[in-house]
Amino acid sequence: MDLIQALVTGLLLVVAACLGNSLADDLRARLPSHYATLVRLAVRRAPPHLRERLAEEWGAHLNDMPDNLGKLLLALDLFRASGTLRRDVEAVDAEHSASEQICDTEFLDSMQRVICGRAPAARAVETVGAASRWTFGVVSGWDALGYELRQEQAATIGRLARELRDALGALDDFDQRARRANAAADNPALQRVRARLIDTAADALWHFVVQRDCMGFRQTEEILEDYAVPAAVRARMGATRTHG
Amino acid sequence: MSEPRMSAQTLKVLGSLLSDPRDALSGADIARLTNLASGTLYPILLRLEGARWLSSRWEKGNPIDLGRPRRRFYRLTALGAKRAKQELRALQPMIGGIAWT
Repeated sequence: MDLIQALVTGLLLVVAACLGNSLADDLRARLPSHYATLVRLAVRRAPPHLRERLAEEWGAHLNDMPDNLGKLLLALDLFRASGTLRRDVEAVDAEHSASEQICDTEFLDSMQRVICGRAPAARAVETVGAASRWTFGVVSGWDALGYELRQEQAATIGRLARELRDALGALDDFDQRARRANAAADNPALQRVRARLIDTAADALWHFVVQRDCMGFRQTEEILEDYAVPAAVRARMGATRTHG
Repeated sequence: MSEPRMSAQTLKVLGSLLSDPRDALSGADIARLTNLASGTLYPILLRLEGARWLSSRWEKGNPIDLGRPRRRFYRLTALGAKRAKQELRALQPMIGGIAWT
């Protein structure tokens, strides 16, 4: 009896081992399609405008991984990446929408007061309605005017940003040349030129900051950091010139 | 265009690209150099690209001819290189010295 039991157990173990190997082989054979499915899911979770790019880029990354475990971990981690990318885009959209609201409500009300003298309170409900309609297209004369105004604002801020960048670039270029030439810092001719460059940059910065402020963007410190504005230029922003 | 948030991981990515600014690196190359997981790496790469600190381009060739998807290569822009050096230089007094500077 014991012998029969031992034989049956042994037979079962052999069958189980064979099935286990076969299952493992099957799983191994199917792994590439599992990675591909995971990456496809991750791509589908990513923001729509990035999907096509990420599908190919992540496919290439997966292809560069040498072993199966690495591929599996990568595919799972790409799922996490797509979630982060989605949240990033949503945060930017929310910020953009908040900025638009500020422009619509504050700027358009002030323009309306100038044009036809109506109290902003009288148009408060209309303005909120108009703000929500921007996304879907122009539906009234005020929408059309608002659209034109925003286009004008965008063009102006772009031009002023270029002017600021050019002015800061010119100052930086001058300083680098002076350093290379080992020019004396107390040379009066050089000091005059530098003072003019600083004034030009300070004017450009002033115009840019004021325009941004008009549009509801009030974080000046960010701009100073973004454009790496030197302290000398910051100090002269909005100051009256003492030389011609 | 917003300023990218500086984190240890972002600095690692910038450092890897700064080690040879003429060279363009794929996501897989950067992941190998920085030991960052792709879930962390790709959002950083896309944020840096959005801030114009990085530019990217597809690998030359056709996926059909290559027999695999094309890699996307990242490289520091002039602005990115300048700002990355500034950020790393600002950190140097705190951490002693950085291999890639």
